Amino acid sequence: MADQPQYDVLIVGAGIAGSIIASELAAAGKRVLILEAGQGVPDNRSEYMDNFYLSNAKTPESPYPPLGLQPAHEATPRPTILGLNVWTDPNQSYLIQPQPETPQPQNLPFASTYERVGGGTTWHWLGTSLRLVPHDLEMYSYYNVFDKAADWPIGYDELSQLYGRAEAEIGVSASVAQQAPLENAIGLTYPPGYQYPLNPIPLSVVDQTVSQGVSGLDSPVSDDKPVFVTPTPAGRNSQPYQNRRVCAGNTNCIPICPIQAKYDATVTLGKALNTGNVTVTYKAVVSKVLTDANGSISGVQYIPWDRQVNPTPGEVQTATAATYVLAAHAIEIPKILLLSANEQFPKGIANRSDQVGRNLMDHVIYLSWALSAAGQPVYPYRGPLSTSGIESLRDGDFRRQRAAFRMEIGNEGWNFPIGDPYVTVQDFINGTNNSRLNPISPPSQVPFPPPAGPPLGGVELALAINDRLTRQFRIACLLEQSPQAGNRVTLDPTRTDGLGLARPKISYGLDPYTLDGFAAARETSSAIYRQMNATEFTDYQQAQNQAGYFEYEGVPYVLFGAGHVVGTHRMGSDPDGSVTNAAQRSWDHDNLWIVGCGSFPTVSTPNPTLTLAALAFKAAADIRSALGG
Amino acid sequence: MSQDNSPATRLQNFADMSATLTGFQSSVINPLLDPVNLKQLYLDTADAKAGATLVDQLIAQFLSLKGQPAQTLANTLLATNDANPPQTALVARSILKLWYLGSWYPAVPASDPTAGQGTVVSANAYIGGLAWRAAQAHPMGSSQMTFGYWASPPPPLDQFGVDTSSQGGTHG
Amino acid sequence: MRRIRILPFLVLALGLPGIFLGCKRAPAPEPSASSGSPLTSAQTPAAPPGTSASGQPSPPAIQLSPTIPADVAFGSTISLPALQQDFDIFSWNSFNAVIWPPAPGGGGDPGKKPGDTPAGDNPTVWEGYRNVSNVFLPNGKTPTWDGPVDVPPACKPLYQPGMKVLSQIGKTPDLLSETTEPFETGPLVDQNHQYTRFEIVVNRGMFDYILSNSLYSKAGQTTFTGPVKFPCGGGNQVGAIMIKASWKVMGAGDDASRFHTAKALVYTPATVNPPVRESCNAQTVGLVGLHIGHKVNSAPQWIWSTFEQVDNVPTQSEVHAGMLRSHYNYFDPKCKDCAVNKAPPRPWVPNAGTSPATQVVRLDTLPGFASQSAAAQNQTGQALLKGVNPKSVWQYYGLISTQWPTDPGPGNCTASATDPNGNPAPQFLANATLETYIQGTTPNVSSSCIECHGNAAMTTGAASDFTYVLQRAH
Repeated sequence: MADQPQYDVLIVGAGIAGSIIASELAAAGKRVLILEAGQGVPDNRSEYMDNFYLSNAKTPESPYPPLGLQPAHEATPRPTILGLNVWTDPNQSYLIQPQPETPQPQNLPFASTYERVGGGTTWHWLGTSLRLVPHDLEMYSYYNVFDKAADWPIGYDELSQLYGRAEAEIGVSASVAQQAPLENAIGLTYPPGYQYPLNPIPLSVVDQTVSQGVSGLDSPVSDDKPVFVTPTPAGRNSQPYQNRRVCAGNTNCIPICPIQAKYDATVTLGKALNTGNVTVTYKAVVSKVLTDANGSISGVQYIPWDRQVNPTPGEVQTATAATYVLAAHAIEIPKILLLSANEQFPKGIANRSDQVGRNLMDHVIYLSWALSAAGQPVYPYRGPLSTSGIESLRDGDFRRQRAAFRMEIGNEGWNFPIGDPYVTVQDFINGTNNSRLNPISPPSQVPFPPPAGPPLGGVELALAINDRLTRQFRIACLLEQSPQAGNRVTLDPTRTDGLGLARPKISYGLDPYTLDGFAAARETSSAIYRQMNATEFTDYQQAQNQAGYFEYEGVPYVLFGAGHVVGTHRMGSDPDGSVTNAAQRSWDHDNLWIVGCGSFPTVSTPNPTLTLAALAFKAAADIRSALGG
Repeated sequence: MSQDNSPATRLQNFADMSATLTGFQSSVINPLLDPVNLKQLYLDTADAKAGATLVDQLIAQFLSLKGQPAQTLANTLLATNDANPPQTALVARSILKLWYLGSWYPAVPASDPTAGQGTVVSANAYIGGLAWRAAQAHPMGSSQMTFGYWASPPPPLDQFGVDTSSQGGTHG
Repeated sequence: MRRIRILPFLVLALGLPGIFLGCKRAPAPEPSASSGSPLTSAQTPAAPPGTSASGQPSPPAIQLSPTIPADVAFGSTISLPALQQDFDIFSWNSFNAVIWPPAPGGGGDPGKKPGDTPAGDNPTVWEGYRNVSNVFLPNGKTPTWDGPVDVPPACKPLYQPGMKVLSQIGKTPDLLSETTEPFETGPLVDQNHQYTRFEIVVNRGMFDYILSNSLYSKAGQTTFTGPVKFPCGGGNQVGAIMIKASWKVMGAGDDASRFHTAKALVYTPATVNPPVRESCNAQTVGLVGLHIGHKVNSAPQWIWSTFEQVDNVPTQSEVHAGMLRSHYNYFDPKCKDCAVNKAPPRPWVPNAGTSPATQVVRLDTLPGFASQSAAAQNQTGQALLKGVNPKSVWQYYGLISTQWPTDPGPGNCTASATDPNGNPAPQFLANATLETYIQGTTPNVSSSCIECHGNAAMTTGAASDFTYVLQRAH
């Protein structure tokens, strides 16, 4: 290795965290090398959009490579929704997940996905940019749940300042005034005089209907807290920003915004590259982090690849720098750290605490759906995927007993719940009733299997479809899952990817704290539909064969992932109980930073991207000061 | 029955039949100026997937019934009252799904395990799916609307091309 | 993409030739948009569609005339190929009129013809339109149509009246820059490693609408209540016209006798990121691309005519067939491993002079009816211009195609509420110098003038009637 590294910083991963750190440090004159496992940022999004249009299942991963399900033969396989459907089959599922004998709350599949391409998973993020609330940082000391390591090592005032920077970087559209009711409800506050960079995004007809419909409702299960709808701050342009267009309501934030009105990390990556101080090497899969005699990081090894399927692994390369940043995603980071175990660090890099890979969390989703009252259409399938939510139940004393949740109101009808418009349209043409809409057969009134109406055609078909589709809406409750040491990422040395690297092995389940949250989410959702005079159609009775099915206290559920992968290299104030300090600097290696939402001690309820972006600014400042200058 | 089967006439008949099946105005199915030309793509797809012979039988049936009320005609072609629909009706249902969803679904009974396995025909076919219009919406991923449109209800259904006036009437 | 159309059948039934698309509007001049701005009466009178200068109906044809057609003149055949031809003829007549030598009071000088000079070149009408940098002024100041030109301080020592200033933006964040293509898809670098420069101008009608509605400032846009509705051409009035031009710095290998050239101050503002030092150089620049967008009664989505200098790039099929010329503005025939239509790596520093040349190929995305019509009209149009002067530089420009709405809307120069883009034909259209990196056939991504401009908004986020210029307001 060269005595004088060519680079000040080597960053593994060209997603949002890596791009922000690269941009910050390069702007300060530091020389940055980024190694990105996946393919580069395309000149335009036609390849990804073509993949999307032609996908039969328009899953979050559908636009992005690899398109197949053969993780053993792909250069950068990753978890996918299609892979989740076959999660017990390691030939098709990238994640190795032990198979339970019966459906039960333990040993559920880990249901979230991510991308391994330049720009990372922000390609298919929703854009939701909610801030944490103060109690989220002190679940142990305030609510006396979990353990001491669940307290965040950062204060809310500092985080507030960092949020401002992240919101400017992302271009968040919201209004402080519209968020103000959340101060009383859940303690959300902003620094005096703060304004979001962009105007708020208007509420959809669905949002307006729910907002009016829940008027006067107090939560039946959340300490009688008021239930009200708040416009969701989002990284989508409500005004021209960063040379990007305003949102045209393509209703496609996930899997891909066709016009880049939604922020993604390629924006920040472009900014970083514009400095002239950043080099990015794509198709470079990091296989090992190297240490020197002092325990400092001395380099990383990576494998270049040529083609995605059946790649020819290139000769292993070594890259060096003064400092190192792992920004490769909360499952890939523990994979790299564990793969890097050596004589000096037999448990893996940065793992003196034995916390690497543990406390894997997600926003597990309780999904419910309903039909608005006859003659009162809500006109879904229009606008951004989600423009509002019920945030007023995200905090309260009930968090001593069970998980809190936020309620995301969807603008895409029953697309998420049942795959509409496809299922309902086929029902009316076939004369079947998988949707329970031909005829309208609410599960509470019509036992399975519901009778089916005759096939329809002509104008009768168009009118029936119009009636049903324009009345659909859904609510997704994002639950804070408790940190569990046993929910963890390890390696399966026998199952490898197309480059011969061990794939992540997942142990995963839900504890009563989280499960009681599910029950509360179910009760609250149903209360909302009743209050609105909407007819609920949520039905998991027949879902036994669906990935994520479980029963709790006699009630069937299906767990969905939110893609919010958290906890696997948590930060903390105690080197024995955490992997990094508040600046996301490894306790064990003075020149290593481990960043991203894997650093969160708890998942709380807000979608994590804004917080991880805020923390990336803090890490960048710390690295800069460590480098001097 | 004898039938002028020149490509242009056949395409015209296919388009007329498609308007009847879908309940959408001819101007949606077969606009006078049609730079995207889904009707041709869909006829070609039906020929390739179901066989031109069956498609011709279906068109012949449509022509023989022309003049009936559109809804009656659609019901007959689709065999909506028939628990065991003939093969032509299954093809008609696949063509109908093609127009509504932009995907070809095998022309098999609904109970067949492959019945729900659709294949997207093209990007334009996905975008052209009539289901989105029937929902007074737009395809997910392809909005022509401008910022904030979602805050107001959409234009009425007939403006999206559903032939509400023809209910009980006849098709040309 | 499916459209509702009722009226065309009516037209057919009534046998009204020549105004098929126009039938959706009242035959009388538009009361709303055009006459909303009294200043537009200063416009050059335009011939009504389907009539010759003498007022007699005649089949549409390309002619050498200083009169900008106010709308399309339709022939009697209603089909995609026939209408494409009508629109392409409109494009050529628009081109001929905007490249016309200007009269002192504005408009084309009827006593002159384009290219009728010893050098075969001339100053043009469109270059007298108002550059948007003089419309959207710092601090939202009120612009003037013919006041002084905004000259950056660094250019002032070099500036002489009449000089073109290719300055533009860069300092203000969030605005489309003049050195990269739309939405930061990348700069276009010529064979001499020079960045291609862009310029946007608006005609008097468009300027007056912006002025009278105070849309030149953020404050004015914020208080503006209506939908933005630029005037539509028709009858004797041209509508709102915007022109986007691309220019290359003339240098080694460039044959100036094949370009419309201008003396320009090529200004690059200083930026922190990318690290760019301010510069201003007096250069001779050659026109390589020209978009004309014109809002007319037949097309509330505007008509999009795009022209290029003929030496720009080879087509995909020419490359495959090996039928290459020795020199192109944006293609090196000797380079076999140059990545095609790929933006140069960042940082993008416009005045560095060291960026690798962009290897550009025109993708064959046009349907046959469009490419055939363009070829036919180009033959006629170029011959007419050559007929004025065998040395005319204008003979070296050609129409790529015209994008137009096949379903413009219910009439009254209003787009359909359900299909506001009007189902454009051809579905995709790109100028190799202006949409280099988004050529293709992917809906909602690949270059489509109408589809992209349908997303345009003001600084407030409200829709801006198919123009991005309003978002430049301060």
